Amino acid sequence: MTLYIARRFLGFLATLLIAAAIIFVLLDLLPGDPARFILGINASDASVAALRTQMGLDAPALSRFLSWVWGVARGDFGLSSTQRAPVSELIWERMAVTLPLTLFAMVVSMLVGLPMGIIAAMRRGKAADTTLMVMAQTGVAVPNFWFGMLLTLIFAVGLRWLPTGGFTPWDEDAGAALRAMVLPGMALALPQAAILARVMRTALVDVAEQDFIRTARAKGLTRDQALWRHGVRNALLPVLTILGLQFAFLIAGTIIVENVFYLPGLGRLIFTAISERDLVLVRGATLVLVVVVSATMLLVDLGYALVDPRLRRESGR
Amino acid sequence: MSLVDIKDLRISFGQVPAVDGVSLAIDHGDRFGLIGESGSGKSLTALALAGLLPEGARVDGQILFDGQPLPANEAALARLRGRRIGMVFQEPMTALNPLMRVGDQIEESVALTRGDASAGAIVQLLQEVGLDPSHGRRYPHQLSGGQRQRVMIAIALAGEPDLMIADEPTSALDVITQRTVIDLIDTVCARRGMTLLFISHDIKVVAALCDHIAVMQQGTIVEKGTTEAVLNSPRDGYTRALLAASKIPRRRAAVITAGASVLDVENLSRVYRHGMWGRSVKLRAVDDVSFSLSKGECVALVGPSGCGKTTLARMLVGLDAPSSGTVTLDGEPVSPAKMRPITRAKMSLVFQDPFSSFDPRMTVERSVAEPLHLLRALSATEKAARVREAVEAVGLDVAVLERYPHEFSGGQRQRLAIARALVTRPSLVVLDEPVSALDVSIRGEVLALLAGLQEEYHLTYLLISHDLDLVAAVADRAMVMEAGRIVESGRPDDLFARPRHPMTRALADARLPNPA
Repeated sequence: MTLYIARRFLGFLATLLIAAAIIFVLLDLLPGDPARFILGINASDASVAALRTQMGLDAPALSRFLSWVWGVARGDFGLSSTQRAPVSELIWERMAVTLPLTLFAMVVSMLVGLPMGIIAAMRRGKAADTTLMVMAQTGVAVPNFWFGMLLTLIFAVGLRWLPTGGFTPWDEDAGAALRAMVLPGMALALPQAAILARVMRTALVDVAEQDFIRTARAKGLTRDQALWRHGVRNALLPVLTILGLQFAFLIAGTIIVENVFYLPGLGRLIFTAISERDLVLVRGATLVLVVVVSATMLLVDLGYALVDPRLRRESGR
Repeated sequence: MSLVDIKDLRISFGQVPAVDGVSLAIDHGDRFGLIGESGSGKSLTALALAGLLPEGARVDGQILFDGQPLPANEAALARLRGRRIGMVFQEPMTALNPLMRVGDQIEESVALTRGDASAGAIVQLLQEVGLDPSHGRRYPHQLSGGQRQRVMIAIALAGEPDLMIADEPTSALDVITQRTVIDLIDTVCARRGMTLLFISHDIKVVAALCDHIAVMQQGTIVEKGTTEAVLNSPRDGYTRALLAASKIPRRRAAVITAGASVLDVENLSRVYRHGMWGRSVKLRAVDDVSFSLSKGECVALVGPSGCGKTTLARMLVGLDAPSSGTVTLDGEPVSPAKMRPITRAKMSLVFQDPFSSFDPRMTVERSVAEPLHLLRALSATEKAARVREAVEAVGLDVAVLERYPHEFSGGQRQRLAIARALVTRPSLVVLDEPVSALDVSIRGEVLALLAGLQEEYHLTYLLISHDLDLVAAVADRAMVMEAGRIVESGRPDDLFARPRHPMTRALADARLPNPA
């Protein structure tokens, strides 16, 4: 068990380092001089050179990379050139919107998708199965921004239950902040729930064919009881993988929904930073996304070990 | 009144009847054996009795259990299964929930059937099937195949059933384990006065355990009666053919020229390390093994599961690198890193399972031709000729080459696997349980084919098997392996008649007597 965790954790750290290197190199190779961009096209070469020195841009790439990584390790992501504020502060502020939004969407998609999949698998081939899977198929096909607009039309414009967009910070009015999450959260969650329902159904249908389900029935359980007691937990293994991927997709995918609902989230921050060529901010925010996504994958791996005793061997091969 | 009374049972999937008018009665305390080859409908008959048929099956006819028809309601049927019928299945690997401790799986069964699941009851069941109470805390993957099958038997016994249905419970186990599980079933049935329905393709196992036999073929019972009557004076032609096929004809002993060794193995070891850093434990899967094979010889490697047979075979054909020692084939070194393609072409493997050893998306022609990439000197026409020759040598028509693996029966696929092994004209062929997945009637044909090919092409065979009857009939020499070492070797007849090493004795003792 410890070996399994240690290996996964080392893999996590290695992923971060490699990702940091790739992000750094890509942004470094990007055409366009940030110093020139800040000073404008009419600035003299001398003043651009002076600013470059001041920003540390004329140091060798390796030493700039190392000092960036060292800074990040201490929580210092550098200073945003457009917003004149520490990048870490900007990201933190925006995470307060994006992270709860993503978690909300995850929880909703699981609450909707998993039961749908389980019911469909248990009623395989019957009307309930067909109905649920047609719904899921539709859910997969509909893009989430369109779904967001539809939800806005019904619940915000029509029924006026919820705001159409915008965000009140948590410390001002937590209730209002939560209400602002509901529609974008649903817009993100429902297509994911549809995918989850399909995966859950397939996994449970596969498990239902396994010998140990027959054993469970031979013990005196009905088919549904056997599936519920022995099938669902086994079927969750493949679902767990999809959950991890979905979280990664959601946190990166908020960018569109945040734009539709005017939410000041991380997605919009990156979007603006790219269009304003704020490389320090883009770099920091991208790295934070990498950390969150890799940490999710790490959690999924640990979740596997928790569910599956076969992975808990001391001598994991 | 019989405990089980089946009258004119018909089971069909769509238009295809799988069981076609089966009638049989099993009295209280009987031990009833149902014999048949794959697809004969024997397992479906048993599953119908427990109400566990796959969805989509149509059932006609009458099944009475203790005088009562099976309840139509699923919950009542489940109660009947749990309390009055215990079941043991073939694959102990997959029959237990991998995510649950085996003690909890037994406890669930006790709780379902008796209501109270005291710790004492579970310990008692574990002990009854010969397990230690501490085994209850383990997960299925932490137990051996035989131990898992014991857990299955404990689960089956939990409800104190009147009838135990055992469907090929020992075919996935090695000889020694097979014998202990058969003896265990024998003991618990006697102790509890339980009725037994035992399903198997293996006449010897059924003969050892059952007092009544029914022989099934293509969905019908062709003959039934007492074990003695059916085996000693079979009336039906199919029963006679099955009995004849279950005796393996002896292969003519090879004429071995002294000094002409094909394969030389010297001080071969394979060590695996477990754990990490300071706490690593060495596992010697193969431990200082030396032997030679002469041209034209058939040598068998026998031993219990996990003794290192497969690891040794993998090193012999260069699929795994030895930790120390050498393998030489026709004077050329064998090792995954240094081996020349021409050396690799001189050896081949035939696997146990003809179903999974072919790529389902490749035509048979491509699969059979695949090893030929090792012989770079051959032209395309020569390669095509080799493929045709190999397929004809195994008794198939060249027209089959365009087809895909799923279009063939098990026996035909094993023929194709042999063709694939022969296409490079090897000198050594490793046969890893080549007939144990085949029905008895096909087994004879495949063995005759292998013997014929050996003489024609002067092949040297290394046969890995746990079937001592097979080894005794076809091998010139047998080597007994235990814990990575070869502990004894010699002519099979002498070896098993006068074993010197305890492992050889254990194997010889586990051999079931010949029926009749």
